[in-house]
Amino acid sequence: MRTDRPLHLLRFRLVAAALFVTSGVAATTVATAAVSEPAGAATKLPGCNLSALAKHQGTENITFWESASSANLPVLQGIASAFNSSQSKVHVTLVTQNGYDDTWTKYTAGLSNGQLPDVVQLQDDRTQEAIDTGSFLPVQSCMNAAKYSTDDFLARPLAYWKVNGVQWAMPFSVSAPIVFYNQNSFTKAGLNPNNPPLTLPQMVSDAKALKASGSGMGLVLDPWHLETWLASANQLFVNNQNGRSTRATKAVFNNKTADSIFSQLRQMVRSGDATTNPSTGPDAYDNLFGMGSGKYGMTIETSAALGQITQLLGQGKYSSVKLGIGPFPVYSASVKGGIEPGGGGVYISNKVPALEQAASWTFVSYLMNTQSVATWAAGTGYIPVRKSSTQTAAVQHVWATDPGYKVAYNEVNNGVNSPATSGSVIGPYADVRTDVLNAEISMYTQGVPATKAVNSAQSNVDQTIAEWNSRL
Amino acid sequence: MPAERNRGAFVVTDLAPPDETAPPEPPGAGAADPGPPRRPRRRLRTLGSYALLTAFAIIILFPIYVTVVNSLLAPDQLVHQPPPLFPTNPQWGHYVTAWTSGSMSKYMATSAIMTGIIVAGQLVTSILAAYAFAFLRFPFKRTLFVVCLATLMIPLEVTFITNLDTVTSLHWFNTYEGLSVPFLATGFGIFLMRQAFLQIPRDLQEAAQLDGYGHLRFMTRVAVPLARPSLAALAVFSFLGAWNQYLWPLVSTGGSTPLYTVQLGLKQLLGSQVSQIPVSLAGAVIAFVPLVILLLIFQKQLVRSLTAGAVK
Repeated sequence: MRTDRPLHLLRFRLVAAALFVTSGVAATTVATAAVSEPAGAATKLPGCNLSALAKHQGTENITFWESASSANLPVLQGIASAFNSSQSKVHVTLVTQNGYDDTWTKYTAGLSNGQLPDVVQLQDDRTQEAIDTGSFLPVQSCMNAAKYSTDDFLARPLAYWKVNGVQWAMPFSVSAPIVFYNQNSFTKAGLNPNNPPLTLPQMVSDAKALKASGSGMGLVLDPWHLETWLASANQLFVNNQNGRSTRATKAVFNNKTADSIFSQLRQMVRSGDATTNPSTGPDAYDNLFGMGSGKYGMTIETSAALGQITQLLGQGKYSSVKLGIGPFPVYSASVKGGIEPGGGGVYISNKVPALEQAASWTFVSYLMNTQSVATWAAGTGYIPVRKSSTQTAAVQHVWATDPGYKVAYNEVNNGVNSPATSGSVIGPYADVRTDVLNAEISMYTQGVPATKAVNSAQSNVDQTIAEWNSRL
Repeated sequence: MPAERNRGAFVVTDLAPPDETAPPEPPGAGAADPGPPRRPRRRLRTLGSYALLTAFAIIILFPIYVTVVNSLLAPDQLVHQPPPLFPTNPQWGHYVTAWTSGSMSKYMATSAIMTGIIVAGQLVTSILAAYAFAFLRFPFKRTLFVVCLATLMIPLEVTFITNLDTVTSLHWFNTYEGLSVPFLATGFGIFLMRQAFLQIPRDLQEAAQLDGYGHLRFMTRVAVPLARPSLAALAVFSFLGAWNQYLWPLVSTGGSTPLYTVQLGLKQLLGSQVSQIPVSLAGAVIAFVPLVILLLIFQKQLVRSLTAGAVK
């Protein structure tokens, strides 16, 4: 989940990067070979020996390092124990890690001393880094071996973890940004409480109306604003098809669209219609708390936060708040694009015996079956990534009682499916996002013009990517 | 957690000034001040400095106060604007939740054992090594001492992978040995204790020798008792360092029953739940209580060691 990224962990991220560099020397040669292969290289994929597992007697024990939050853990435990009792070939043990960053730190440390899991849940921005470790068996191998059909999956969440035609991980905890708004504030501002803003210009004008009537918009400084709005206009963020055909080497967002996105955000913040707060540290939830206190009439947050926000704001404890949910306001109604998903993917390690790798796939495919996906989505608020899961009683019930949950699903299901709307694959993704965010902040605090901010974001991103790639 | 570390460090340094300013008052009365007595003005100055220190103390203590208050608020009170500065309906249950279902009791015990081993180990190794550097004559003494100091400049991250490999190959992964052995000796401790030992007059050592004291007896009966303030400072610093560790316990523990320390537990407690914030703050308060107790116990000696030698 994107909201969960404490500032002090940045240091560990650096350490993790250092660890990767030291431990990955041998691995990188393997990885670059895999990445630079042309599309359709599926035939050269490593094997996934499912037939050996079928013949094998006895139980294979596997571990799953998961990064679920404490609230979502019981749901996952339920799925895991249902898996364990459903068959006797594979037994999975969940190992709870302290969020995505710690999981990654531990994983990279484990590359050196061999303390590794069979299955691990990693954050969306680690895709390239994960591939570069050379320590994962692409789930594509097992899909091929099992003749697994992905027709039932939503295209974009699946494509998010697909690089150069190879599915590296399964889309597990998938979310997308949505609009949370207070219908009472909308009424007070003379806006229709049932019409959340659907486009960026509408959002800007709604924020203005809200401000005039005493509230305003809470804008958390999330570094993925630019990418998300670009995707909603079907524009690439980095080159080489957002890093999906070959490794990304440059940013490609220095254009009118990005200028327009930045200048609208800039205007909103500079005029005071929107108030910013950092996405990490003690003020990370200020946009949400501001909704509760009536300070803000609207904010954008990940749909993964839906459960806790509904719990906190939707129980009638706040007479001033009537929670409304709207889709992420797209760049423009006339340009067709799509909202990119994000969240966590589930990977299978290749550092364990072949039998365990096959056993891991048995578990992962169970985790991704219609019923498990439905249970997981209904219990957590994550997006059900299978179409068939939405037909189950569990998901139907949640959608009926709280229609807000359906918003994020529709968002990643509708629109154009293209590399631009499937998110990017970038080695130093976190640093790239920091570059973009810094440019964004320079507009808000120092009044740097939007075009200049986009310009400097692009050149800094280029430099960050070039530095990373030069170390490979 | 760095925040905790800072807070700890602040408390350490902040406790110093009041005591530091207190002593000059009586002796400084006539001896250092040759001019005509200007009592009222001096009193004013004392008053001023106390007012300033009080203001600083409030600034430093305020976040701690807010942490305590917020740990007692109901989740819906947390979002109230302006934020309440006093818990009208204190939710003591948050502490119970943090302690029991948040497993803080288990994490505290793990941290206490690990920290105990590290502090004891660092005191023993520092005393022994520092004694050798201060009182014994042996070849390459200077070089070895510089090597000891040089270790201070190597950050944990550099030795990290090697230590992890060593610990794993010794089968110490996820054990108290793995958590503590890499930290049993410290260049800082050796340096601090050596400086303390060098303050002890040579005559004392010679006198002790004449009385038939060997090195070990001189060390335990004379040198260590005289260096008590430095020893206390070292104990507190190594306690703070060990207690607040995050990265090493994170990577050197694991498996299905990981030996998590209190800082890792705190992170787990926080999760990503807005409604969990008061509970995780309660956990944070529980985690820093031992530090506060420690500082209260050692306050005097800490101040003495930090200011000792400052004017010599």
